[in-house]
Amino acid sequence: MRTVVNHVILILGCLFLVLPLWVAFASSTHTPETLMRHGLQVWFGDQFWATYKTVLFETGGVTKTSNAARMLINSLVLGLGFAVGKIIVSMLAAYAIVYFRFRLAQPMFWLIFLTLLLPLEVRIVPSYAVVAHLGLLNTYTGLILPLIASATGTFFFRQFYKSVPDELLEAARLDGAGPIRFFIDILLPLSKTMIAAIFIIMFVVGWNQYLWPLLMTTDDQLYTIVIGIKQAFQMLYEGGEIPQVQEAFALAILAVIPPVLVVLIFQRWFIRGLLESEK
Amino acid sequence: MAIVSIQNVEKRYDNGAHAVRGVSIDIQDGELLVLLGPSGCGKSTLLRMVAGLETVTEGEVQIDGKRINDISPSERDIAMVFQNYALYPHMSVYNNLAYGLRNRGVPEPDIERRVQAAAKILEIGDYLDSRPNQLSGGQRQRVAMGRAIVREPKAFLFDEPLSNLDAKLRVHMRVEIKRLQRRLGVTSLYVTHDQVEAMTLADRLIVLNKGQAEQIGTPMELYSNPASLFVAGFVGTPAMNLLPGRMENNGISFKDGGHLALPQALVDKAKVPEVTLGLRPEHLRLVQQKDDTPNALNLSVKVDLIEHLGADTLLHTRPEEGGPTFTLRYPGEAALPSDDRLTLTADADKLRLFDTVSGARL
Repeated sequence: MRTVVNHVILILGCLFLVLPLWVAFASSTHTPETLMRHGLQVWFGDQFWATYKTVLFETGGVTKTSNAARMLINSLVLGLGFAVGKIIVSMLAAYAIVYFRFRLAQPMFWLIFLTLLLPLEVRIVPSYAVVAHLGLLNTYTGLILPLIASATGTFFFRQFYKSVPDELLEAARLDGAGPIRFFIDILLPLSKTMIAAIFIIMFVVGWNQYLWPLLMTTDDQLYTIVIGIKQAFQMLYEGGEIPQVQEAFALAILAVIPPVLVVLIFQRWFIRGLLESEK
Repeated sequence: MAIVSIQNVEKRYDNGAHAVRGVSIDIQDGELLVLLGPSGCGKSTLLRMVAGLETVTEGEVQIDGKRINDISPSERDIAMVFQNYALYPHMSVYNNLAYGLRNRGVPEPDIERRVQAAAKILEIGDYLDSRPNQLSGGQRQRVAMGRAIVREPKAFLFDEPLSNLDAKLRVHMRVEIKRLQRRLGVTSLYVTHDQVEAMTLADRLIVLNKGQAEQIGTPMELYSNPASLFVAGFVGTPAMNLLPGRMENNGISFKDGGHLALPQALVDKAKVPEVTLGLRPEHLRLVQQKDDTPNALNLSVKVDLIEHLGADTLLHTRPEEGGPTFTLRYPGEAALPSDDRLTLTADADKLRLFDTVSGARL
């Protein structure tokens, strides 16, 4: 009886999460006329190739002067740069805080930690001003660099390094490994699972960035797919023709796929990292 | 091979803790010196100062007459075996052994040869491709020692290397370490809190108490002639009978009651009123009747508790007229008289007297 109840709840939960995606996907394979006349669809139509080809490779329509392929590349650059940058910066910051004795190390850590109280939205005006003055508007650098300092990442890596036994460091010192060798040869391989976990989280966060790319990019060639969705939404209600709803749906589906893939690929590592502690 | 010399070494931490107070000792070429003491006595700190993992506050550490206080650990030409082995978990056994050599720029063929040689000595050749977490405790211990051996260092430092093993394996590895150290003839400093380990391994022992050297000597010297109450109580299982009392009437009146006449020689030595009598359990004999020779000491006791150890029997006894308990080690199975009243005797020259207040041997 209990398992039945559990399963019912589980299935309802899954439906609740998946159904909107499914409707969006199914609807994206129909013509706009069908959608206008009969509303949203729950089964496939015959327009799959036509819709996705248009959205991916042709400018115009909901993607205006860009296309989804371009947007996906931009998003990928942003997501990867964001995640990799955050991992590198926070690993190095945590390494300094945990392994080096310098004055004010502890206050520095808390200072970093306090920046959690100041999300991007709070400091967006000064951030924008700095980037604009540096002439980095409409560049990948301007898009990524201001975002890669991460208090969360630093905190996670700090906790992880603290759990690494001191004897490993001492053994490495006796083995003639300096600070850089120790970091590369010992700490980095040990952090693999931690890196995978943070990569998943940060890639998805980076991919979903909206406000910052919206301010930073005025050039269509730099639009990310999340910005593209917002554009598409505007387009649907501006023109006088039949709104290309199926294209907007296709765009949304395309935007979802890469983060899902990243989670699927890295979650094995992630879970293994949680299960096995080889220290 | 080298002489490691520790001269008036002091360690004070920033928080004011005074961990090591002026210890001096020379470890001879090829000697295995054991640092013995309870936890918190400063023995690991002293070892880590020799390794270079802690700074020396005062005094000098030398290897072959060369001051090494300010030389980095990797340049001191020493190798260390850690309590938890500290193997690199993500590297194969081979790479664990080779890592230190690679960092020193040893050519790869030499590394191969040295690793294989060490693996042969330690019989870990079959596991060279395994990861440390696939090995048992004993195997990890061997790998940790292998990592020290391949370096061909001037000195080995062991920081309680056996305390993570189960009792049986510990005894086995103890013998192996001793054999290995003999065979390689490398000067070694070995830290432990286990006095059996210390006694069996050491060429010489240094007993530390609160950061100070209580006594330095061979295991048998420490066992037979402990320099202080602390050493007497720490070295030997079962522990030495230590019975506090006062000097009165040419003998000792125990705190728990009872009086024992002492030979004149001992009485003359006892210049302080508060003394503690020390007597090893195996120096007490069970006899049918009192030993009347002048040098003998006689006690009438009742049996309190019997512990059978197999090879030996431990008798915990209490003097009939009241007084402190004695532990007696009886070789073999003790056939006890039915009334459980025993006469014990001991040679007076086995008695040790200590100043209860200062702890010093009298």
